[in-house]
Amino acid sequence: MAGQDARTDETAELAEVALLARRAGLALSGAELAALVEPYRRNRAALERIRPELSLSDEPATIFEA
Amino acid sequence: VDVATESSELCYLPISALAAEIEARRLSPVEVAEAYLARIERLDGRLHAYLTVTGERALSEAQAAEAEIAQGRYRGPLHGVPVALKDLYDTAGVRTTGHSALFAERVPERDSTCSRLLSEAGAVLLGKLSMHEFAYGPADPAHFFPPARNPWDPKLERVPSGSSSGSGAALAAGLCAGSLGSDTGGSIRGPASICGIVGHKPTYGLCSRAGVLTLAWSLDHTGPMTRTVEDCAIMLQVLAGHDPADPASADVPIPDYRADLAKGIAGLRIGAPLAYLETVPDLDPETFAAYRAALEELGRLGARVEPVELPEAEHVNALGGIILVAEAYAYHQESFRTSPELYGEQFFSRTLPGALLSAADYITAQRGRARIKRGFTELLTRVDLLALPTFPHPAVTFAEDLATPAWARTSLTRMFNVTGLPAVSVPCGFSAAGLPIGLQLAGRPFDDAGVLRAAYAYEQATDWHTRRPPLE
Repeated sequence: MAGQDARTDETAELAEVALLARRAGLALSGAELAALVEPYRRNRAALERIRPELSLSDEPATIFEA
Repeated sequence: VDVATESSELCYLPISALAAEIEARRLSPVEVAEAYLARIERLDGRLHAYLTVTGERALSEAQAAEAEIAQGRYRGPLHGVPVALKDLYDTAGVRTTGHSALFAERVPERDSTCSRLLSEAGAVLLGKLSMHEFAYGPADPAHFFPPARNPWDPKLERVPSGSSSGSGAALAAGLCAGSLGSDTGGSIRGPASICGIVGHKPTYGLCSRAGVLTLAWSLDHTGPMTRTVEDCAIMLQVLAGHDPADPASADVPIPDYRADLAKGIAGLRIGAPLAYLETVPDLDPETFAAYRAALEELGRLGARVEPVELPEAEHVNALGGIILVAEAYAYHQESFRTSPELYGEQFFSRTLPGALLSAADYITAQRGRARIKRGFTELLTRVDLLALPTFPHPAVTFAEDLATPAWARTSLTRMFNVTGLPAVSVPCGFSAAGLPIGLQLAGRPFDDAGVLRAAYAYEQATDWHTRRPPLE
């Protein structure tokens, strides 16, 4: 069962990656899309890890000078 | 003394010594340029450190330098000194490719600010140096341009690291006296460590990025690569300063970077992030042992070395990587859509993840970065400097490099791109296989002089920087 869940997750992630690449206007091969799944997953995980730790003061400030 | 040995001695002279000889008119800049050009001709067919050799221009600049010096118009310690630039610094009239087929025939009309500053200081341009395509990803032997080889490997099967690969290889092989690299996640410090030379990533904003091909705007740094710390200070003196042409350029006072080099490090507090280092995958035991020995040496020199916790250590490399690919993809977006075939597979595939990130993702990463910067600022109120190994292991083969994920190369260096802090790599040992290992020292914003001073103290107490690769 666990193996099947993992395959379902991977299929869903591949579909997500394909959709995002299409939206970005990129025509990628199946191999290129498949290679994107791992970095996509890693980046999502990194963003999920930092999100709960952010506070209102964590702001990428833009400073204007007189 | 045969001709090759004599030329080798000349081509390994540090800039500081070369400058003294040239100023005193005991050495002619033309003679020096000719020696370097002959050495490039003799060795670079195997090393591929150069993409373009500007021989005629070098000789003409050397003749001009010689004439000026003879007339008493000595400009300073780079006058008549042969340098070479990573091939992403625009040079008017000289092809600047970014090591990419996309720009294979690109000839800029104007110099980058850094190229211009070196020219104005009287430096002689030997040529443009190999790099990793657009300064990202591994060395790719299948690429349009051949990759540079590491001169420390007698079989020349190992990478010089990157992305300033040609700069590292050329300096180690005595094919230029000084060089410029660029550093977005460790691309000056990595090759410096792996090639047994010195590389300084200045504080973000200290040296201009104007006219330098972009990888990621908020992480890109330009900076010097040399064979000694003093030479780095000499080059930094010429390069540092406000440039209105670079929107991120800082308007700060520029100190004399050589003035306090020999002041020593007695009483300085140096933080060693030992707990973090235990979490770094692939940290090679020989590298770690050389690092521990370097910490002991820093202690003997009077510094107080103490263990520290790196703030946000579990986030910094991953968030820096997200910011990098988001910005790199933004820069290449149009060409990725229209001319993907002009990119090498490694750069293309490693930048593509940027296409999948949303604006919210990028902002989340930047908010995380604000947190990381605060943490490092606070840490640097408790210690003056941080000391880490520069790279997790000595040089690997091209096949091993291709199999290495991007994040694994930058676990020790990217934190100083994310925070913008100054960081230098100085040789600190060799593996049993004879491959160089580097020590990284980082400090507070715009305390580049302090970072160089500590590196100089360590360098002068050791002899790692005097070794040469087995080329002759």
